[in-house]
Amino acid sequence: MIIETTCERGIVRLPMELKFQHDTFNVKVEVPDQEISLSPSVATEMRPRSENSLGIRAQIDAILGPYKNLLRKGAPLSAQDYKDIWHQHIEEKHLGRK
Amino acid sequence: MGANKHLILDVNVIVDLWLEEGSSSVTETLIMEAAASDTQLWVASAAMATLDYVARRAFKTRGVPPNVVAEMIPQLMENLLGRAKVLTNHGFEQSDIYSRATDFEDAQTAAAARSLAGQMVCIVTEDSSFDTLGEISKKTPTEALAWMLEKESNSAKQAIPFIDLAAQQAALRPMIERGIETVLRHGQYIMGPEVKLLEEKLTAYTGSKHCITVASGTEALLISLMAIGIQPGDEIITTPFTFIATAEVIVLLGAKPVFVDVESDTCNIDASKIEAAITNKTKAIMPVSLYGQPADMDEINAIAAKYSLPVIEDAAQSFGAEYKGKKSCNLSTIGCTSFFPSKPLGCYGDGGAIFTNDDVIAQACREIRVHGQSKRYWHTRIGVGGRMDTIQCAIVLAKLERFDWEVQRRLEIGARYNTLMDEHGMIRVQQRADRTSVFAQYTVLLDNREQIQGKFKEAGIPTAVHYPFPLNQQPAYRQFRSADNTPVSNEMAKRVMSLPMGADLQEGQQDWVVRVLRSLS
Repeated sequence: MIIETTCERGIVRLPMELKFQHDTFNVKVEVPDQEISLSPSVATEMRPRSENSLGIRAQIDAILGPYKNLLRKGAPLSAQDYKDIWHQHIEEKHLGRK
Repeated sequence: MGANKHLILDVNVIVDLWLEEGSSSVTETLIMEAAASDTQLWVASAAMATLDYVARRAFKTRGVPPNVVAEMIPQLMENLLGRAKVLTNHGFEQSDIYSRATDFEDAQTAAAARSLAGQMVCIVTEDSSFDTLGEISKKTPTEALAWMLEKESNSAKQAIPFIDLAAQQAALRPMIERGIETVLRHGQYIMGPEVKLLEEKLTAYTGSKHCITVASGTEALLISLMAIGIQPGDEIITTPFTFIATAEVIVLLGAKPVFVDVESDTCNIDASKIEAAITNKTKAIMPVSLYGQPADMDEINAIAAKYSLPVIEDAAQSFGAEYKGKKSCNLSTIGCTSFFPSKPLGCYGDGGAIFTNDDVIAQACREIRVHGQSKRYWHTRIGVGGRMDTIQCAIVLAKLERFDWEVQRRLEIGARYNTLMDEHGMIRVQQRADRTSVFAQYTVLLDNREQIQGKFKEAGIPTAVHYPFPLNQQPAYRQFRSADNTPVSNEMAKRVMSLPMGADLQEGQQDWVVRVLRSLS
C-alpha cells in the first residue's frame, strides 16, 4: 500500500485510522532530494538501514512497550530544558536537604 | 572493532533518541553508520548520572508511571552501553577543568575526550552553547553524520602512523583502564595475579605447556639460553639479518653467534645452509621469525634432532602467526616473544615471554627470571631480575581481548598489500603457503631505497628499515664474521624498506601508500 503523509522533523506518521498486524515493521520511504540538507555526496552515500539500526529502534520500542505513543505526545525538550531539569534536581537533592 | 572516528554522545541526543524526538531519526542513522564504518560511539562517565535522571524525569512528565520508569530506564541504559563505550573522567584534572570551564558539566564531557588524543573526535549535541573547553569540535547529529560519512580518502591523507597504537588504545581504552586500575588497587606490582592469568591465557593461545613472562623479548632469549646451559665458547647458529638482541644475548654469555645466511625471498634463515655450520661446539639453533613469519621450522627441527640440539625460535615479531596449523612460539624446544609496544601483541613498555613444553626448561626459566632462586632467598643457579611487571601483564591481557580480530586484520591487510604490489610488479618479501605472517612489518625490496624513503618522508608517510646492516657487519660483532658468507643478508640490508602496517590501517591509507610507492618505483 502506498500512503501519502508528512515527515515532521524526521518523523513519519501513518494515518491513525490504519490498523496494523504488528507493532513494529519496516517501511520504505521516498524522500525528495530537495528536502535533504546533507551535502549531495553524503546523501548519495546514505545506505539503507542495517540490521543494527533497525535493531536499535526495535530494541528501544520493545523497552518502551505500550508507553511509546504516550512518550511521543510530550513537547520536545530543548537543550535548556535538559539543563533546567538537571539543575532543579541538583538543587532539590542538595540544597533542599533538611 | 577498529575505530577511525569517535563520536561522544551528549545527554540531549540520547534522550531524544529514546523519546523519538528532535533528530532521533538522524541519530539512529548515525548509530547505524557508526557500526558500519567502524566509528566508535562514546558517552562520558560524568554524563551518566545526568542522563539517568533527565530521562526518568522526561518519562514521568509524559505520564509514564514511576514504577514503569524505574524498570524502563535501566534497560535503555543497558542498551546504550551495548553500543557506546564509557569515557573516564579523571580526578587529577578536575582543578584544571573547573578553572577553565564556563559550564562545568559540559566540560566534563570535553575533558573525557582527552583520552582519545590523536584521534578524530567530536561531541554530538543539540546544545549550540556546549562548553568544549575549546579543545574539541561539537556537531549536531546531522553534522556529525555528514562528518562521519566523509570519504575515507580525504581523512587518510591527514597522517599515516607507521603503527597506529593510538587507534588501538582508543578501541581498547576501557579495558586498558580497568586493567591498570585493578593493579593500582591491589598493589601487587611484582608477580601479581595478572602475571599468572596472562601466562595461562598465552599457554592456551599457543598450545604450549608452559609460558613464563619476562621483562622483555631480549630477556626471554637470554633466560632461554641460560636455561639450556649455554657456556662460554659454545656456538649458537642464528641469522645475521635481524635485530641485535638475537646475537647480543649469545655474546653476553660468552658464546659465539654463528651466522647462517637468509633466503632472498623471505629473509628468514636458509635452513638448507644450517647443517654445514654445525660443529662440535654447536649447542643450539636460533631461527628468527622475521617480519612475523616463521622460518622453515620442520627442516630446522629435523637438523636439530639429528644433532640433539635445542631450537629456540626468536618469535619477537611473530606472536599470533601459524606454521602448518601450529602457533608460533610453540614450534620448537623454546619460543621467545616480545611485547614491545610496536609488536603484534605489545604492552606499554617492555615485556616478553618464553614458551616451552619441557618441564625442566620451564622450571629453570622461572628460577632464572627471579635471580636464580628456587625458594625465597635460596639461589640454586645464576639468574637475572627478569620479571615482567604486573601492570604490563594487565595491558597485554586487555589487548588480548581483540587480538584475534587484529591478527585477522593483519592477514587481510597484508594480503591486500601483496595483491597491490604484485599488480604493479613491485618486489616484496614473500610468504610461504604453509604458514601465516602477522606482518609485524610489511617489507618491500627496492633498488633505490634512500631516494624513495626521502620521497615518502616528503609525502608524510613514515617508513623504516629492518635492518640496514647485518649483525655480522656491526662494529662490535665483526669478530664473528666469516668472510662474505652471508651475501644475501648483505644484499637485503641494502634493499628492504617497511611500510605502514597495523590492524587499524585503513584501505584508503593503504591505497595512498601504494600510489606513492608506485609513482616512485
